[in-house]
Amino acid sequence: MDEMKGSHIIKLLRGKWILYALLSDALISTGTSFLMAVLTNKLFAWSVWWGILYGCIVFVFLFFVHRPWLVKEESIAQLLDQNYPRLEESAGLLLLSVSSLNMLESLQYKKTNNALQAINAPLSIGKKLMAPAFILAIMLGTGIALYKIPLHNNPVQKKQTIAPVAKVETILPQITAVSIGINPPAYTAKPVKLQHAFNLVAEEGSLVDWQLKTSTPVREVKFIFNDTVQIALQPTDTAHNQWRTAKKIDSTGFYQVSIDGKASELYKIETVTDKAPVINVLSPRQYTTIDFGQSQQVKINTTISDDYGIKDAFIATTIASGSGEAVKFKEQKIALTGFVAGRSQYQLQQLLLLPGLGMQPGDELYFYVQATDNHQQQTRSDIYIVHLPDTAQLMSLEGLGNSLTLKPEYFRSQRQIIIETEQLLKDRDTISEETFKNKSNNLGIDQKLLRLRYGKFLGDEVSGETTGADGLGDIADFSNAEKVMDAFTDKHDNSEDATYLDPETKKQLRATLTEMWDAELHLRTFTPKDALPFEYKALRLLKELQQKSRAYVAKTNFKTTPLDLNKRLTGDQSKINQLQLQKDISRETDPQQPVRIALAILEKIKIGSDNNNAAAILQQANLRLHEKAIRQPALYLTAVEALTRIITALNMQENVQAADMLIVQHGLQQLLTVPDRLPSAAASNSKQTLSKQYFDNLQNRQP
Amino acid sequence: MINWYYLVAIASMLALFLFYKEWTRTKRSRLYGRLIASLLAVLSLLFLAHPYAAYDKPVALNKVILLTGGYIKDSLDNFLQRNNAHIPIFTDTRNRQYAGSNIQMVTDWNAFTAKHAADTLHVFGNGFNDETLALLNPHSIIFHSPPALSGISNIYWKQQLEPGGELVVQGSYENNEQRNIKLVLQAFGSHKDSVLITAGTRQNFELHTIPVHTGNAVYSLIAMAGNDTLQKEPVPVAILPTLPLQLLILSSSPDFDNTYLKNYLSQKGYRVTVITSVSANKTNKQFLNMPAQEGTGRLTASYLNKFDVVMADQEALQQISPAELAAIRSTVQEKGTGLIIKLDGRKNVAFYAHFFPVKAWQQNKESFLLLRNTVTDSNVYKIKITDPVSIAYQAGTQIILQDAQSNIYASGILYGSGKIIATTLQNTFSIALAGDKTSYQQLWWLLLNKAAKKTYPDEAWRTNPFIPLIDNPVQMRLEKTDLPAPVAMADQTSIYLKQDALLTFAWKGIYWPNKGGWQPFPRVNAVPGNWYVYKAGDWQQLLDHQYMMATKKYAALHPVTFTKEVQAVSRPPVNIHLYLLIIFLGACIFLWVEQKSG
Repeated sequence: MDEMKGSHIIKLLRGKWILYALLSDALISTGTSFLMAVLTNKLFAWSVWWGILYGCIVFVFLFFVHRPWLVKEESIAQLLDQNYPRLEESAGLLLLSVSSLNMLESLQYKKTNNALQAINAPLSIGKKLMAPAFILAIMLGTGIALYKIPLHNNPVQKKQTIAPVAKVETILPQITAVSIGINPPAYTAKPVKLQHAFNLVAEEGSLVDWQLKTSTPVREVKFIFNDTVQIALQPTDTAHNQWRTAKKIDSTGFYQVSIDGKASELYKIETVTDKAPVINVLSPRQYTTIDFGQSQQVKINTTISDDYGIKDAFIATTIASGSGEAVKFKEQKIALTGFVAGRSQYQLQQLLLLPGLGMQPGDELYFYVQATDNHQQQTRSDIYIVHLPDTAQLMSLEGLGNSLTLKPEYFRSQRQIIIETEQLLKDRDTISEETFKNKSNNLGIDQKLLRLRYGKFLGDEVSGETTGADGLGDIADFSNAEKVMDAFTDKHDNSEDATYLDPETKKQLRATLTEMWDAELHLRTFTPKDALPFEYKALRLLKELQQKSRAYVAKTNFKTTPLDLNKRLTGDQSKINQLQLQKDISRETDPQQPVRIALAILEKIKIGSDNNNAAAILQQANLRLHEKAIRQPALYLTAVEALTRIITALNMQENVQAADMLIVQHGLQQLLTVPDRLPSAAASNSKQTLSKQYFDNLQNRQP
Repeated sequence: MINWYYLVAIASMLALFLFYKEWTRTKRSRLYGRLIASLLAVLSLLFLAHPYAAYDKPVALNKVILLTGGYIKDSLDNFLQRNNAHIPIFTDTRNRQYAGSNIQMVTDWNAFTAKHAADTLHVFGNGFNDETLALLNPHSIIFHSPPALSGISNIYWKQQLEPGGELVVQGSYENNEQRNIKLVLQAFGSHKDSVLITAGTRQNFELHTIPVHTGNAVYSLIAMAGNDTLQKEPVPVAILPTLPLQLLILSSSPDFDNTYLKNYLSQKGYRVTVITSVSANKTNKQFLNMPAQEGTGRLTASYLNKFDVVMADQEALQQISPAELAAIRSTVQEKGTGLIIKLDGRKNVAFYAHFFPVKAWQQNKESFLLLRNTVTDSNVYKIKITDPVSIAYQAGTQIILQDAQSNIYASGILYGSGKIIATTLQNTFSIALAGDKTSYQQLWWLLLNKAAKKTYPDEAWRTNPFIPLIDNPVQMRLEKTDLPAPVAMADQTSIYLKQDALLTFAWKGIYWPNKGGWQPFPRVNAVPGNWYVYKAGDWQQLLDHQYMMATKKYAALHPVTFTKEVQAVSRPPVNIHLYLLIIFLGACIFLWVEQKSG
């Protein structure tokens, strides 16, 4: 058997060779099919499943090109001989049967057999797969890349990019050339535009200059604007071939060219109106209060934009100081830093230093931002208010004495805490560290007590006041469930406080409590200076609460006699006539009614049934369309033209174009709004007729 | 039973024997006569011995093919091949072709069913409409239906709407295709609403639009797959003008809500009378768009009958005299006038009170109520009510408006032939003043329409089927109480009407419309409206689908059975025995006499 090994190896090698050839073909065809599938999918939107077919075709093609089944064992042997000199060109011997060999051959046979067995991984066939694998990787990579890159000729996109075909203008045959110069107004800073079509799009206030050339001399050329105003063109040469006129365009509409009484189709005039500047104040908020301890400055952050350019922008401030009749106002204009006239977009920031503006505690600052564009259009922002509270005012007792006060003692306490905190801060240098801490802590305790007392209004639980289960020790109360429950449960449900105050007051009280919490925190951590802003804020909120709960009673000094209810409405009214009014209110007709009917009439004309007053109603509808077209020529002008054609066709007893019909119906529909739904008596159906008969019979049977 | 073939064999042997005997007889005279007589004798004996042998095979096995629209040629070829026989093919229209065989026309279904009473009818194609199936009844059929059709399988919309009413097209679509289908409702060439039907599903759909035209128009329903239009069907819609209501408002004190409503309605041309008491025995009367009341100014039944709706607040009804209240009550009960009562929170004992018990409740005054229209369950109205009073539900009442917590703010009840609507809303004007005019209109449209007196039109026409086709019979139904002669004229054609046996006001007739499109109803006295006749080919897929369904149902109800009864029916009449016996005896006598004479 040992002798057979050599031929066996060669056989194995042949098998391996064929297998690897097939594998490499498979790899290449896979790569090709993937690439093809992606390409055809992208270019022609074919299904990717076609890729399987491409793969099969390529594989079969390669299979027949390479013809791996033709690889013979002899050729493998030959290849082995070429690659391995130690086989001594005798690999072919291994394929012969041992019995047929002569002496010398069998010796060489054994030698070669041993040599072949000694070769490790002969021919290294595995490496043959490297190149196909590499090709496959490249093709896959390319395919994926192609898949990701959107191709421009993607059919889906192609459909979207088809723009609606602009309507070709028809001009009168006499006109050989037209040149229209549009000179936009100065504020737009735009150059003069020249065009050769009659449909105009111009900035509002543009001066439009028409120059026409006619093929033959004509008597007169006119423009008819909006079917009403006529402007005659002036000839510029003696041959009456060149005509010219100019007009300032202020509004949208349409016009016609009329040469010797023959009118053209309608051309639209669209104007681009200048928009007012847009101001957006990003900060501060509409109402800002600067509390004690905060830095006294306001940062104004604003964006301003306009379509053509801003000429001027500033902040207008008003400071209101004093109160009552002594209130004084000071107005000031502050230029925005970084503002350069002429641009269309600005993002500006400005820092207002309140003391710099002369603001005292208790004053209020009102400001707004104003901008003017090149066309003298002004916009101003909302008014923003910055309030600088007066701490001294908060401390005053004025107003407490002579009004209804709900919680006076607590205000005093908060005020007291502030006074004492300030005193403590003043004394800090003169007292010992320990006394300072003690006093601060005591103030914290006061603040806590105050907070707890307010908390009661909100139905908060009073901590530290639970007295434990005292009173339960009484033997008489043993197993008295009510008493035990009293001692250990919270009675949320019967808390009268919960509904004692209205929600708005409660909300404010809760805010006050939060401030008190913070004040207490700082007092207890021996930083009374930090506590001060919170104490002030708490006081301010309390003060507001107090103002709110103040009742106003008007002073009056007359008394009405009590009304005797028995006599009420018993006076003699016989001289008074009964009020009676009879009025016919002219019915407010739906102004769109002719248009609504016109829609149905067009439908009738479509199917060819004749209608006598069709033209009259369509004429009315056309009037409505006209009105719309003057304002929005782009939307309605084609419909006006089409409807005019339809009316003419009807009057001439001609056939109406279906395309015109569609345009008109579309235009009319756009014009119409949904009609009001008005109550009406519903007509009964047959079932109700039956039940009515039944009902009537029942009624008749009754005695 | 002895097999037929044995009998035939015996008979043939007998016949051969007899022939041989006759042939070999020396006397050759009347040989053929004798032979014929022998044959006749044997044959008659044979049939006498087994008289029904020829009919024993079930005759129902005779097959007849009926071709209807949309049959698939391959399946018919297949069927003919399998049965390997010449099967007669019938159809009901002249222009249906099937290559290779001549098709017979069926002109009279009654005659056809009588002729083929014993045969099995194989129906190919989409099947028949209900009328033809009724003629076929009770003949059983086997239905070879084509695969399910893709298309609209059901459709409905209200053809006649009032201005501002919404057009709702409802139906279902069978999408048996591999792609999504878009259904588009188109009005005058512009798209109004659309819905997507997913591939391979059967889906119900609903398309909405509020028509803006007045009069008759034809919208279209289009089924599209990508850019291909699969189906385009006409959707005729008529917008009929409505008659404004006549309204009487009784008010115990001047009130802005009533004033606002009065102004709004009178500007729209409604005839409104407002009676407001301003002091003791002093009232302010306003007659808008209508003549002033003559006479004493009392509310009498005949005066109240002029109005479609009486609206009053609770206190106003307490202030008027008992006689007037009784007049209101009887008008509502007998004449069908609607009554709208504005309830306040107070108790009262009037005739309507027990339908609408009220309760006042606490509410956070900051918040707005969202009232829901429970009749259509669609619209929501936002209103601020300071002192809400709600109505407790009573059996028999219909809830009209309720809030999110199901507190009722308006409800109604049938009262005699009229309706009573109660509402606790006192400040509906605030909806309009808040800028929501549409909601205000809808709210009052709902309340007034619910209450309004029903009109009984002098004559009303109804047509069946839903899709009447040109040159096809349409059942016309007239509702009219007194008809001078049971004839209606439709465009030069008379329709003869038959009175319904139970509903004396209903009259029926058959009409074959000969032109399509909108056309006036048949004329009796006046012309009350229009109806739409579809052209041939309109809604074809829907009709095919309906035919298929009807025929399937018919086939399921009338399955083919080979029962004894069927055979009994097919047996020949009994007197054939007699004829056979006479022939046999005749033949035997001839042979006997011939032999004796011979």
